[in-house]
Formats: sequence, C-alpha cells, structure tokens
Amino acid sequence: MGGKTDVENAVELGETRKSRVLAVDDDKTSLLILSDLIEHLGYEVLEAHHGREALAIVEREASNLDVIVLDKTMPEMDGVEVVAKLKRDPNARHIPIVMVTGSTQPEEIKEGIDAGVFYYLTKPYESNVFESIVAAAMREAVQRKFLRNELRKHQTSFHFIDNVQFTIHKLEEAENLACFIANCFPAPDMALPGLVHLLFNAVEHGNLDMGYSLKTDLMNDGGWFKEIERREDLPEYVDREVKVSLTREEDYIRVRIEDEGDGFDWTQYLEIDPARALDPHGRGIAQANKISFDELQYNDKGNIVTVISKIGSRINW
Amino acid sequence: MIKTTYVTLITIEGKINMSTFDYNTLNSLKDRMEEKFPMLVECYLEDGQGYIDTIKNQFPAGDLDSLIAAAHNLKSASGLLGAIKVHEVAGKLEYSGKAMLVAKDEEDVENIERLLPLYDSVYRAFAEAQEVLVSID
Repeated sequence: MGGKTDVENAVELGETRKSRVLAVDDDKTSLLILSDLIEHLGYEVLEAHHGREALAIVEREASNLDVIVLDKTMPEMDGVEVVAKLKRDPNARHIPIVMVTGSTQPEEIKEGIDAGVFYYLTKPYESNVFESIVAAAMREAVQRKFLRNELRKHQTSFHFIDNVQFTIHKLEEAENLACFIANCFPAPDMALPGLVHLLFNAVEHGNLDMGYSLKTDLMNDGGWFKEIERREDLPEYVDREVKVSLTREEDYIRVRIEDEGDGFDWTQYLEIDPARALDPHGRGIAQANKISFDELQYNDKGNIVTVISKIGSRINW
Repeated sequence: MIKTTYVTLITIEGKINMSTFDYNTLNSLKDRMEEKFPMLVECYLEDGQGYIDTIKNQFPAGDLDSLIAAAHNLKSASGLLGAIKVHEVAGKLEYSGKAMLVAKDEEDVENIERLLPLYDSVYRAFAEAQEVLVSID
C-alpha cells in the first residue's frame, strides 16, 4: 500500500470521503495560507483559530479526522497543551499531529516531541517541505486505518500461543504479520504501529539495504515503493529472510525480529532527533519505543530488535 | 545582560538593509491562491496593523508578554507571505523581548523602551510592505 496515493488507499478501504486535516493557527493570515496548501494537496480542511476550538472540533469529529496541523505558539492554550489533552483522549490520541513552530531551536522542538509529536514544520516553510511532512503524517494515518481494519480480520484465539516463529521476505508480508502478532498483545492497537515500523525496518533497511538518505530522496520524488519492489526481486536480496519469534510468558510477551543486513547505529533513532524532525521519515523506532512497548532493545550490531510488553503493563493503553 | 542586549539592538538597527519582499514566495502564493489572494493581502494588512498597534501600546503599558506575542504573529505571517524584512525585524523584536523577559527575573530592569528602535524598524518595514502589497494588481 506504501506506493499508492492516499485516495487510492482510501478507496481500497471502501471510504468515499476525502482525507481530512484540521488546521489550527491563531493568526488568520497563517491559517489562510495553511488551509490553501492543504486543499492543494487534495485534502479537506477544517479550521480552528485557537486551542480550545481545536479540542472542541476534535471531540466532535475525531473519527473523521486524519491529521492535525497545529501551531505551537498560541495565546491561552499553546500547541503543547493541546497535544497533551489530545494524547489523553482515547478517540484522538492516534491522530498524527504536525506541529508548526517559528523556532528551529532543538529545545523547542524537543518539547513537542516529548509531548508525543513526531512531525515538525518551521515557519516560514517552503510548500514542498510542507507537502512532504503533511504527506508523511497522512501516510501514517492512512496506514494506521488500513491496519486497524486488517487487525480485525486476524482476530482469533491467540491466548493459547506460547511460542511461535515466522519467516518473511517482503513488506506486504511484514504488514500482515504485524496485524497477526499485534493481536497477541494486551492492546493490539498500540502494539500494531510499533510492530509495523520494526518489521518494515528489518525488510527495507536491513535485508534490502536501503539507507536513510536514499529513502529520504526516494520519498521526496515518489519513487520509494518502486525501489522497494525492485530490490525485493534482485538476486542479492531475494533469498534474505526476516526471522520473527513471539514468546508469551506468564507476565510478558516478547517479540524478536532478526534481519540479514549489516545492522545500523540504532542509538540515534531511539528518540526523535530535533535535527531530523523535518525529514519525511525516520520516526518509526522512536514511536515504537515511546508508545508501543514497555521495552525495546537492539543488539550491538543493530540487526536484531527485541520488544517486550508486560501483561498488566505500565503503559497507559 | 541587558546592556549587552541594548548594544545588540543598536547594532541590528544599523544592519538592516534587505529587500522588502521575497518575490518568489509572494508570486507563487498569488499564482496558487488565485481569487483568494486579495483576501489574503487584506487579512495580512489588517491584522498586521493590529499587531503593530498592539506592540506600540505595550510601551506605555509595559506588557512584554503581549508585545512578544504580537511580534511573533507578525513575524510568522510575514514570513509565510514573503515579507522578509518585516519577518526579520519582527523576529528580532520578539527575541529581544524574550531576552528582556528572562533578564527581568534576575535584575530589576523595566526598560521596555529599549525595544523602541526595533519597533520603529518594524513599523517602517511594515509600511514598505504595505506599499508593495497595495500596488499589486
């Protein structure tokens, strides 16, 4: 699904409505420009002029909202406070948020990241940068919706599984396996995005040897999925496997994912680095670490990742 | 610290010598927004004047927070519209105001008027931007 447009994906989901974005800014000029850019991307826009109005719209429309683009500096209730409230709302906490800030100071960006924002834009933004970041957030929203539908198809009696192993080769298989495994976790909805990111990483960055900057370039020119498909069939990669094992003990579930790649410096991806906050990708491991599991550990080389969720977890599902 | 800020302000004042607009940004907005562009200009000029007035009113009122908020919004809107000179000087005013706010906790300094030269620059830059915008077809 990664190579298709949002509209194609929406059609695949049987949805007739356009993807919808809530734009929030207290300055009318900025909001006019923001809304116009969003409309030009083919999305429907809802507008809010301050934090409280945004929260009221989300309360009413959460199930019909795909992405929120939120100004950080607003009077009365600033963007970070709005995010904190949204993250406490079970109906809204999944909606990807793009935070718009006038500052490129790492500490200001970190404040939003700590609150749970993974997408950033700094004003004044170029329209192509805007497009790239909002499209990345929309991809996450569409993928999440697609996977949540898939998740339901895989619901069976998983509590009898104690130990199971899988082998996958392709991204499509990674997606299906993530849905299957997620159902073994106490909160499948929360585990699912983390599993998808880690399995995708194992296939594309591990086995298919796609580096970070190459992926950035390919995503910016729209050729990412084609390149994945091309590499999946190359002789040097076609036999590579990702081995996945799931173990359930009395009080925890552990998933181990091992690829055949050269590994990578995973330490810089456990948290969102403010310097990479404007990139169109590179948030998956940090998101998995922050919201999906109790523990996430890599081996030194970086080709094996193990995640653990306690049953009766400290995570506020 | 405040003395340093003051010196910095004077230096900045002397250095401002840039174009009023980034015409690439302005023209691409005009092309993209088409019939909505005049509304955008009207909104910017009206709200921009409001921000200028708010900033000016804080010199007798002494409310740095309101001054900073107005300078921030003027900076943001101007940057998006391509009004780079207003963006630049409003940004300097915002950051200088923030620096003063921080220093105020440490020293009993009530010298909001030290920001007046920057306000003058913002005022002049906005007037220049206004002149350009009203002349657009």
